[in-house]
Amino acid sequence: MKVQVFPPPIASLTHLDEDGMMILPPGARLLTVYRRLKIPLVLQPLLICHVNYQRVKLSTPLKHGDVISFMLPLAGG
Amino acid sequence: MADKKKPVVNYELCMACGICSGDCPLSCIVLRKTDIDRYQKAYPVLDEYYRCTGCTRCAKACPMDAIQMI
Amino acid sequence: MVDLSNATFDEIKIPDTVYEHFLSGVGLGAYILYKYMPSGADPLGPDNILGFVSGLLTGTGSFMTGRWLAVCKSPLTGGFGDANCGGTFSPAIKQCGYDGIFFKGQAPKPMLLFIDNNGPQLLDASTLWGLDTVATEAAIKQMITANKKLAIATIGPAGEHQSQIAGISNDGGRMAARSGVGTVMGSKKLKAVVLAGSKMIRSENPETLKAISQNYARKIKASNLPPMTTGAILPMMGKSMVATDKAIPIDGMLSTAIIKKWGTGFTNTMGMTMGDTPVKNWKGSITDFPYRKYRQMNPDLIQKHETQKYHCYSCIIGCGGLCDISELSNGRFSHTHKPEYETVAAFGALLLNKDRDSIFMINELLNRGGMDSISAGNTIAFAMECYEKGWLSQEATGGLDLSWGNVATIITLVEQMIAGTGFGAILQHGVKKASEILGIESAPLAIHAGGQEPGMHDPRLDPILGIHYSCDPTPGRHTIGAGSYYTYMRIWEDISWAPKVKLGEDKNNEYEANNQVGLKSMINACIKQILDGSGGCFFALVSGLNHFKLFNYLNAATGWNKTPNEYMTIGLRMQTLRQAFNVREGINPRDFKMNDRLSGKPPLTEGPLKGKQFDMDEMMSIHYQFMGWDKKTGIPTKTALEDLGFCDLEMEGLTHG
Repeated sequence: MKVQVFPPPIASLTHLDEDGMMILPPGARLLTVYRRLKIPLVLQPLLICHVNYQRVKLSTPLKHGDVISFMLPLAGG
Repeated sequence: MADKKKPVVNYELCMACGICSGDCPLSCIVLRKTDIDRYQKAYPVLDEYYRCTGCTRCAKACPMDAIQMI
Repeated sequence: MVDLSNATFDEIKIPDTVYEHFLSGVGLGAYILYKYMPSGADPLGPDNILGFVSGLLTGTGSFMTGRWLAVCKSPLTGGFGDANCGGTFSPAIKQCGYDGIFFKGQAPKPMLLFIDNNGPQLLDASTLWGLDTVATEAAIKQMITANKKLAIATIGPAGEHQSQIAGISNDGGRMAARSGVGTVMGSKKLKAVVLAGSKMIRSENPETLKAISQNYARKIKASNLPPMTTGAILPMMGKSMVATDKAIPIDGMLSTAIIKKWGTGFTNTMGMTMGDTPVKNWKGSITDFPYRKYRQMNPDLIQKHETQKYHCYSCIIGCGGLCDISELSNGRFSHTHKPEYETVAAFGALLLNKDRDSIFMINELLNRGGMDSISAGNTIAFAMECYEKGWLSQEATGGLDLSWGNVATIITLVEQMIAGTGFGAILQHGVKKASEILGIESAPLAIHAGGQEPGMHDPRLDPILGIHYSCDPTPGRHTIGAGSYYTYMRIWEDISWAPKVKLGEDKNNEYEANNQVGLKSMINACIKQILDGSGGCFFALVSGLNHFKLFNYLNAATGWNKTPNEYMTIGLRMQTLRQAFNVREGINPRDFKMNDRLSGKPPLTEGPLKGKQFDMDEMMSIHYQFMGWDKKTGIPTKTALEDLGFCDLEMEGLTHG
């Protein structure tokens, strides 16, 4: 299954293609995405991670087409 | 006037966008309730109960359908 | 259309084809200005037309579409001028039954326009002349009684004194500040526009609009920062964003969480570590304004004064705030709007001023005086650099010590500029006029693009921003577009020919004038015109078009069935009309090129933007080319005008190229 990931800047991008899609085995959880992005779990409380624009737990199972987004600010003013 | 139906805001749905207060022809609804969320956003309150004619414009305008006439 | 010279009113019915060609809002404004203003009109004379326009989507039940624009011929640039502002004024225009209110002529004495359901009337405003914007609103509320709460747009003393960087204020200090729109209003002796209409605003498919809105609102509601997040993370975020040269497309929706919490203030500290915030009249870097100074601008500390959020009509994010400043101003003012990032940067880092309390004061002074904070800050920075170089003596400044970061001087200067007295009389017309007065050698220090001072975002970080500073018909705007904004919009999901920002792409490509840069900047310019035509908010746009369904909103509100591609053509047409207006008024588009310092000539030697530079002339050429304008001159070509269908519209000059 394929999910869309909006990674934070500290993440490792090796598992993502150029559109930001990640291919996961069936039954994968959010924790798998964290591991593949090589995000240290200590930083986990600082980052905001949403699945389909809702806050979820790390153990949530993912399904095909989910959008996983990590917090990152933008310039503006 | 008191038997007319008046708008009641459901703060679970309300996004504090201010469309109701902007559309009220008599400006009876005022944005000033700040204790709903942690951002201190101003939520709408029916300030002038007796001036409200129950025209339902606020309820129709609300994009979230958060206003009911009770 | 209101003729102030003869005090007559004239209702112009706009044919539907105009809306289909130019939408409403800025498009309608450009159409009226082009059609009804005689060519070569004096910006401060009776021939200039000042318009207040609402948006096509305002009041239809769509979210984030409560912005209005003031349009006129700008005294600063001599070309098209517009200024965007939120608040409650935009729906009020439509509730009076109009899409726009236009003024021509000049009143013999101060007037105000009052419109309610019974129609317009001009009232004497001699007693209000000289009052600041907040006092004017209070006085008008005493003067006029209406069933509905009044929506008031007014100028302050700066506009009355014809300071060329004056703006128009509504809602007690929300400013439509840019392009000198307040100056034009002052030249017409129009003190205020007061609206109290309560007509219904109709839309074609209200149910569809509601459905789109609810879907958008659900996402916004879920985007929240964890409660324990503090402003201390912002400088770190800024650092991490420039740590890599690789582009990482992000989801704009989550960044709205930041705006919900801090408003625009989040960039106060983040912009410093990113290099986005200009320092010391655009020549310094973070080493001139290090952590111990910029931490004073931490949005958490500003938020401490906030009593409640402030937001525009139909906004569900709420970036503004009302702050209690009675203590720090010693009882002089009770409240101020929360200082926006632009104000904090223009009077903070740009002047090396680390006194947070002074920024609250300056913010309120400028709001009440009705002056543009970006322009005012840039102009004072220019004066300070001249003083540092020894070109300004203490006698010339009237005894003011203009060394960097001198708080007392800055406050005095702001007061002088608003009143037009002392040394402030030289600075009150913006940085271009000031450098003309001070002599030719000061021109390289005067940071402007075609007379308009640029916003507080550094093109050396984002060169596409520089293209818009230099190429837009209203130059010097930070809200037209930028490479980063393009990434957040994710417009390629709607428009097949838009270049996709790929994960891991090299960001340095943007420093070269290549086709991708040209295409991106063209799309930015077009989509911004569509947004301004519909009254939309820029923060909705950068939350991503995949969430903020602008095109669906427009179709639902109008009953049209246009594709995103057709809307892009409309945006291109609006932008071309504005450019054609400038050309007609005798402007050479190449003259709008921004100061060389902004394109890294000479490059910075320190900080995150060290050594960054790019060729602005090439960048402008590539943008003109993609807009369908002449590559050399920037004038819209004949074929482009024909392709955009200007022939069908009875507009003289445009059909002949």
